Amino acid sequence: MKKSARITVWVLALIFGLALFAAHGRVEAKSAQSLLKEKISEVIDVLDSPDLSEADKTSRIEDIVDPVFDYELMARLSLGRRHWTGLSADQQETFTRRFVTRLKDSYFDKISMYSGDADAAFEYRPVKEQNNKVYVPVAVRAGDETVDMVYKFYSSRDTWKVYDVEINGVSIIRSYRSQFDQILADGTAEDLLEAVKEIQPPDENG
Amino acid sequence: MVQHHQRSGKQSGKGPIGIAMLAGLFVFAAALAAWAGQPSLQSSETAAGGARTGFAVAADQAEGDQTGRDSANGSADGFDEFDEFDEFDGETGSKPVADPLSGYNRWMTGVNDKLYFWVLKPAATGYAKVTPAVARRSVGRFFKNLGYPLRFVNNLLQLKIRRAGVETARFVVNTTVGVAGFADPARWWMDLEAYPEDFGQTLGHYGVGGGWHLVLPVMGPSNLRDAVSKVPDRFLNPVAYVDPSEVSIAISAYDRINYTSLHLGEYERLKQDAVDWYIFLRNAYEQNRKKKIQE
Repeated sequence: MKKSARITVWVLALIFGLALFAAHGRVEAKSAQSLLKEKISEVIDVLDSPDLSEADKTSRIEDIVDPVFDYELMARLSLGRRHWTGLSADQQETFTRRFVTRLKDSYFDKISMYSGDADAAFEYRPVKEQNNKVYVPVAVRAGDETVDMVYKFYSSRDTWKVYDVEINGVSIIRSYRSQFDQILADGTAEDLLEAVKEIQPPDENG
Repeated sequence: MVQHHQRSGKQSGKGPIGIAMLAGLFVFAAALAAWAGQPSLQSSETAAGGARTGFAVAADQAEGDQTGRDSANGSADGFDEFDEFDEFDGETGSKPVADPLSGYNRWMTGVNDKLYFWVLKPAATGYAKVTPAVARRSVGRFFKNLGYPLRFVNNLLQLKIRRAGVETARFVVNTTVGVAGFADPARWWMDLEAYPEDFGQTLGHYGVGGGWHLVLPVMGPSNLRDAVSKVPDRFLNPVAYVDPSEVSIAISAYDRINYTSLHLGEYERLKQDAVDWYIFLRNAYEQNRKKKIQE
């Protein structure tokens, strides 16, 4: 009896050890994921509230989303070191301002497409972490389709910030970067600033 | 064994209870270990060819295999040391695609653009007006179900046996319970997702690079590997066996119009966001294919 009691204690210790071991090391990553979950559900609450005007929705979503996105970093990364350092300070500032506006416009434009997609479900997949970065994959299931998204976070001081988003494998930053590379290969910094000026309203006739 | 059991029973009345408790704990511990290990198990399954995230595979490869196959969009993400650009460049940079045909490709992108606005979009818009969305979605599922032979064979060719099995289960369930594939009970009730694979992905899986970027008429962005792969793909497409070929082509066109009717406005929105539409499409195609090949 004594023996079995001792074994029981050992097994219990082993279990708690395992549990602690499992919990450790995923604490940090979990918090990036839970931050994303929190933000997504807040945004959906806003989108689902029927008595808000479109403009109200947009400004509320901005308030929710802005603190987690590092827009300035995204602007720099979309140029890459070589092109970024090739710009003058003034040009850098103009570029960042225009790029961020563009990024946000395009984001809100996409979000406005989501309306009444009540059956949309978010499935969070295991995160991947390395050093100060966490990739949080989430599959968005709506209707007959599933869109795989990855939110890429890095830890900035004591909080997580998004520096890139992947949609079905297409990284937004990579996408912009390939386009900016082309523009700067063919033209000058002024052409670049002109290209990011503002989003043209959709052209219905091509 | 029996003796031992009796002995412990004699020695202490609590013996069997202790053993039962231990057994219970053992099961509990095993379950806990399984739970604790679950995420990593999942991602290794991913690496073995099981998952839908893509990223998991990319990261696993980055960890395990730095010399992984070359790709059109730069190396898959080693996480580097801290310096802003050093730190992120590996992930956000992109090696340009081989594109000696860029002149033709840009021109064909323009042709396809006109085709969309002048032909496809009006047809899809008109069709959407007379056909309720519920019906159009069912038709979309019907065509998706017909893609089973292609997905099944290419999963097998890549030795993704479990996925080939899932595909077969989906096909059987959706063709019967789902009434010829117009419904998707496998996804709705059994949580079985399709695993799209084509011959281009199979070639990519075995290390064949995409080669030159190539914009195809009507079908849009592609590359040499994937364009050539459309020939064997066609042999696995039931629609291709419809006789006469005019009817076969009409069915394919209908599939395309139906799909477009469910995605009206998306093309316009993407185009409006792009700084350089052709480069955007080229890059998005290559990134998306890379992910599909990795997972």
